[in-house]
Amino acid sequence: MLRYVGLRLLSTIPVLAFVLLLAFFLLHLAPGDPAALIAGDSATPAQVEAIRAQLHLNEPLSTQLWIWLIDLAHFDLGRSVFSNLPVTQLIAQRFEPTLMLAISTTILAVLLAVPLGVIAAYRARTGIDRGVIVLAVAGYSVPVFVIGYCLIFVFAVQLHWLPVQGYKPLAEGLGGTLRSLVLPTVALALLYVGLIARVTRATMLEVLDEDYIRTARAKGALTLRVLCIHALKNAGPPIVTVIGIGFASLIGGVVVTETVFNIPGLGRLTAEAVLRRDYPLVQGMLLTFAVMLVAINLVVDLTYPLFDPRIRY
Amino acid sequence: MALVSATGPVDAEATRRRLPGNAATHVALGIVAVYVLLAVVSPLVLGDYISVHPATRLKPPSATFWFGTDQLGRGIFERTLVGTGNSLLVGACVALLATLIGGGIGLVAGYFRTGEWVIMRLMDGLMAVPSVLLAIALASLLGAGLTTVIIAIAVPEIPRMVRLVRSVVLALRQQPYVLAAISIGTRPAKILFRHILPNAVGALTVQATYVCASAIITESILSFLGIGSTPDSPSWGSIMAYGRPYFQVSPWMILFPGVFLSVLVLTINILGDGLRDMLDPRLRRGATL
Repeated sequence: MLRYVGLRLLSTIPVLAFVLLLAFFLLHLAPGDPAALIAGDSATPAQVEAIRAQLHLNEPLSTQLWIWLIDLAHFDLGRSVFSNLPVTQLIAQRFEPTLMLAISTTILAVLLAVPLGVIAAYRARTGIDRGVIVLAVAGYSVPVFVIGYCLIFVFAVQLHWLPVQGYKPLAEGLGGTLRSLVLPTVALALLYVGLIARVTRATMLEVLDEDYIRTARAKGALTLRVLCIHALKNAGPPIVTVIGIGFASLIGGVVVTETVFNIPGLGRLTAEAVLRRDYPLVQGMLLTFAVMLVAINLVVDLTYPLFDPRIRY
Repeated sequence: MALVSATGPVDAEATRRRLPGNAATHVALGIVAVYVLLAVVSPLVLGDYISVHPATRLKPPSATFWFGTDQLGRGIFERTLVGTGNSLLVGACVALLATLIGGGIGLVAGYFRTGEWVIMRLMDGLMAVPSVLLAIALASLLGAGLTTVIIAIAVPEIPRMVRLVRSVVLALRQQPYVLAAISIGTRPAKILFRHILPNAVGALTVQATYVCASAIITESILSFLGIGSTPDSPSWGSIMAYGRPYFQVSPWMILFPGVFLSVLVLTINILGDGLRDMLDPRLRRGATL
């Protein structure tokens, strides 16, 4: 197990190295002078010069990369060009809303999508099945901001059931946090539900064709028991995998959801950083999200033995 | 339903025979055709959608302004219809670009296996960055403009295409007819283009359809966030972005482009599913319990 985790971590090194280089060279991909690009059109030459010095842009490229990597090893991602606060501090400040949103979305999506997928597979080629498929396709076809605004309009503006926008931090009480999370969670979860329900349905269809399912039926096991214990457990790995893969699109969705619902999280921070050309912050966000994705994929891999004891690490 | 196992060449005759049965695909095709027609005709037929009319600001939908007006008094109907072209163009170009580049890399990596490890690790790296985030970062760096947006959206789509094509090629490479071609000394280029590519076209087309749908969403996200769009040519995302501060009083600014966008993406996804069912009989399985 530990050996597997070690090897698996080693195998992420090329991926992370590539993301590091991508983040580093991103600014140099842009045409023109990076410092002028960050400073914007209204900057004085002195301001451009200050930015150039702050980001070490007057050093040779290899020196720049070296300085950046050394800082990174000290968990120093530089300072925001816009607010002059350390990037790590900015990210830490904005972490809570995004984490809460991601957790609530994942829970809601799994609770909705897995039963839907199981029912669709059990009742394959019926109206129920077709309904689930249509719902799934609609889920990832309707952009999250369209759903988001519809939800706000109906449940906040018209019915006044829930707050229109914003986020109440956990420190002010769990109730407020949950209330402020309901609408963004539903908006974001629909996308995720579509992905998970589809894979659940497809995998269950395959598993339900297996001999041991027929055996279980033959010995008189209850339908629910066959579906949940015999079938769903064996359909586990692909479902967990798509939950992990879906997390990537979840992060993309978070940027938009947080903009629509005015939630001060990592997604909003990223959008602000990009619009303000706050390059060190954009770099920091790319790295943060990439590390999160790699970590999630590792966790997903480690859950496989739970479903299939033949897989051992 | 009978199990069909077709691992060999796609049977064109069978595809044609199955075509009339799939009503949803035909409806989807029809809707896409309507969108294309709107995109071509509306800029020629509709009146002015750029100039500002302060007297008719934020008007609700009426006989004069079918979809209402925005905060500058411009008709949402005109802007939404003209915006169709932008979305379709970005979707089609991204799908084409990602298919050509991703498909090409995938073919080479899967068939020749040269530099495969490096290519696949590069693709893993690209995939480790959430695609919308990468597109946002690229679009903001490359500056505003249609070409920029297309490149920024296409780059994150390439890795998935490479992986798909590579896996298809790896499987095809073991097929008897390919092994036979190799053993009689057929040139690799001929094997690739005459034997492998025609059998990978189905998978490529289906994936290109999905890429097109997701590119249209990503474009709307970018212009909704105010990245990469140019003020003159209206895009659904930017119409909605304009409506953002006013949406509690004038929801039509977000509603109409939102509906157009959602219907188009849904239609293209349904079209992709229909194509997949036609081109890949292995996925047309039902199960009984």
